[in-house]
Amino acid sequence: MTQDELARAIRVTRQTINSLESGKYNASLQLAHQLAQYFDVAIEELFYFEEE
Amino acid sequence: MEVQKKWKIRLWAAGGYILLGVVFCLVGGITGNNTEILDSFGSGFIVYGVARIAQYLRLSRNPEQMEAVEIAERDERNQMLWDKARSYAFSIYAPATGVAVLVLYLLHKETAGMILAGSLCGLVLLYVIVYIVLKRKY
Repeated sequence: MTQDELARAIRVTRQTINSLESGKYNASLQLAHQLAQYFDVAIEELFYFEEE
Repeated sequence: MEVQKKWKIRLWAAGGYILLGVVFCLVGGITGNNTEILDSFGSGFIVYGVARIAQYLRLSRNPEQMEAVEIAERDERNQMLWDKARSYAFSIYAPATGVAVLVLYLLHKETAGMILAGSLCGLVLLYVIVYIVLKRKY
């Protein structure tokens, strides 16, 4: 699956998917939930919390 | 907000900007004072309004592009970027204006300095009011 396809599926821009993948941007709880639902996995499987 | 409703508001706002621009140009023409400044502001408002209407006309003929614009506007990263840009712009504008006011006073351009200082005070006051309103809301 391409970034563009995923972006279209969850209605965000491709740049947002790219930034999420490269760790430049942290998703909101809502977007994290949307992504987890899309991939049918738990949020913790997609994202991990890193203390700054 | 529905897309059509949002665009309806935007088109009214665009009409308002065009009207404001015409008023600026007319005032400049009638009074003959500071014509360049008033014409510049007026033209800016008119161009912005016309550009908004042109954007709507272009997008309304291309639903796919309209949807792409809609997605980009709702995108949370874009919204974060716009908020950050506004925040940084405000943070830079405040001290830069302070320095500019000081320079204007040193150059004995008190009136211009006072107007600039007033604009900064107005902006800070607006910030405080909006902050209080938002604090009550959230």
